[in-house]
Amino acid sequence: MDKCETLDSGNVSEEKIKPRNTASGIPVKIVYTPEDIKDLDYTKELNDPGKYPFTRGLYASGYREFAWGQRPVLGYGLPEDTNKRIKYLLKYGMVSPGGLPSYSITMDMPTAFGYDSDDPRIAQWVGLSGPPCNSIKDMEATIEGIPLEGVYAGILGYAPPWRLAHYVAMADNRGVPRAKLTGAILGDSLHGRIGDGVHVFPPRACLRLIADTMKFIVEQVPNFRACDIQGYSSREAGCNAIQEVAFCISDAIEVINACLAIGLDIDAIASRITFFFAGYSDFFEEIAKFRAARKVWAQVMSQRFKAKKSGNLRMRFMVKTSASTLPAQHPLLNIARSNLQAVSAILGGANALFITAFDESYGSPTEQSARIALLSGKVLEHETGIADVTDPLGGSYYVEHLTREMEKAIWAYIEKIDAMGGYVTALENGYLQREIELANAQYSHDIDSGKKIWVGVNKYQPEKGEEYPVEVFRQDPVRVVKVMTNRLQRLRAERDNGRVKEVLAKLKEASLSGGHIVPIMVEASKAYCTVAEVYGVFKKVWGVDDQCLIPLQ
Amino acid sequence: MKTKKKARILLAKAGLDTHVRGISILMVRLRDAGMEIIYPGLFQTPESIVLAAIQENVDFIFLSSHLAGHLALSEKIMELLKEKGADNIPLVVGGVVPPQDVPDLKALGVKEVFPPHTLPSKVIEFINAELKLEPKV
Repeated sequence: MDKCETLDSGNVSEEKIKPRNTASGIPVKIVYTPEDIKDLDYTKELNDPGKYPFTRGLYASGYREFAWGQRPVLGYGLPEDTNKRIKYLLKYGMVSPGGLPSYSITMDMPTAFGYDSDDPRIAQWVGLSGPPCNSIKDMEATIEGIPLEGVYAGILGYAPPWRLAHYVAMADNRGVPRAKLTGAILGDSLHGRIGDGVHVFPPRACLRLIADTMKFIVEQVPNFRACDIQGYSSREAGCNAIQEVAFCISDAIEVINACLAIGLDIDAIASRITFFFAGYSDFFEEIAKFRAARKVWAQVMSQRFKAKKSGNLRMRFMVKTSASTLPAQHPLLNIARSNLQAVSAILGGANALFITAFDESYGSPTEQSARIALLSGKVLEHETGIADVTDPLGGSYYVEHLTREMEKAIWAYIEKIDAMGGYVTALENGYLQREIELANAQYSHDIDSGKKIWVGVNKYQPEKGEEYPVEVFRQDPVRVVKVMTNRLQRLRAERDNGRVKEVLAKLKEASLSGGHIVPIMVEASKAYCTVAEVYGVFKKVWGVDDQCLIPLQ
Repeated sequence: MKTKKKARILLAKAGLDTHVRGISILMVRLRDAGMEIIYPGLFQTPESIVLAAIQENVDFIFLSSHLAGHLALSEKIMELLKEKGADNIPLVVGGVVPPQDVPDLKALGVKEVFPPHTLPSKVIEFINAELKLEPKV
């Protein structure tokens, strides 16, 4: 008698069958029935897509009008290397959620930490994981030949928003009205620090910079999104799906409070906050996560912050399929993994999707792997029909049950952080870091013990000689440093250094006095100040935060 | 058989490489396996790594690299270890290291290279075998 027959014969109870949980530990039954959602109130808990609480999606039209945005966050080498890659992938259809041609550019670590490329202390890291952006000239070279109007620019920013200052300065220099600029600032110096560690300033200084950036966007660049809350990095650092969403929403609550504190109106800022989540392999849990996240956010915005316009209750989010789930063993298999993660993001109603290239375990993607990743999203869009019907899993006994469970668990975390005194307190006292490390260690135990199977890692490992020879994308910091050093020398010789001094003094004054900082950063950009000069001012005023990873007690 | 009480491991991240997942897993797993962990935090230099290794009298330096710095960093660390007469401390490298680079790292004198997604139990086995330690029950 096979196993299925034993259960069906009534001889074995469900409890005897191996128990299963979702990746974040929610118990899962063998089957779900109307009984599991019998008290579900459709209008109150789900409602049609486009209606509060947006569980089923932000828009009545779903993906019919525009498909999800499709673009990787990219960059490497010299600014012109990145420019070439942007143009290459634009040909293959990088678009924004609103259907505009779109790109997202990163920056190298020295820029993110406020060093010029010719600083000998960081020479080894120049041009890796992004192009350097020492001054406006590098920003110009990075997006040379790409118009400022009619393009949706995803600009990795962190706090302070260095690239945004250049983008606005470029628009001013070319006579493009600031209101015509469309795009978003990516990068989160508050929550992102837990995962990718990119942070320079202490959390409360970052909060001030984020609020200052929001003010600038609201008043000056109205078609930009100002703040992208980064769940992706913390998820990749090891937290689970519930924590990912809860920590992000707690972070966003703190950001909103900081914006309200400087006199901004909730209805002016709400739609300018976006979210960046990870797409993982636990298929239905991810779908439930996205649906629950939208719902919880709508509740926070309407009940806690009393946002009035319907558009301001909507959680807009991009999903990047996880890089850390893509092992080096059997690398081509990663295309299948990323694809499934992408499907769950689409079924969960993601506004934009960045499918990770299969070779990220080896380094930055090659032209080929980046193209395959981008085009695999086009396959989903054009060949499968999965985007034809909005929230096609709505009403599924299982998905609705799981969405509710996720919602409850997310709220429990948010309330815990509230009780602690808010997100920044939980960050400063190490609570968030410890939660993530515990989840991470647990996961590692489960893989090591074989409790969870990870194909190629703890089972079905490739035999010797079967490893696929991946072409590794090689980078050459020495070449980049050489070119950038020459450019910096020329820049410092040719610019008006008196003006540089004046602007930096003004910047210092504003930072000390609580003045409006970002407009002066735009001036600094026009005066050809370098990143080390501008960050240098802030480093003197606020000091540098060196706390990133708090070891377990 | 010579047995030491506890293995002492220096976990190191260098420069602007801030990818900490691997090292945070190792920190917990090696500790749970009864080892002593020395972790000086992010943004270390080859100099500070070698200094910490000598001062803390460690059995291994584990360098975690995710930003293409493994070759240059290993070369510098090996050079400094020799210079300080501390080349009895073995260097182990893990993280995003393409298989093509493993022979080069070995040629520099790197004791072992753990590719991406190595199971922590393999690392623990390696340390116990090298130091002839009984695994923690």
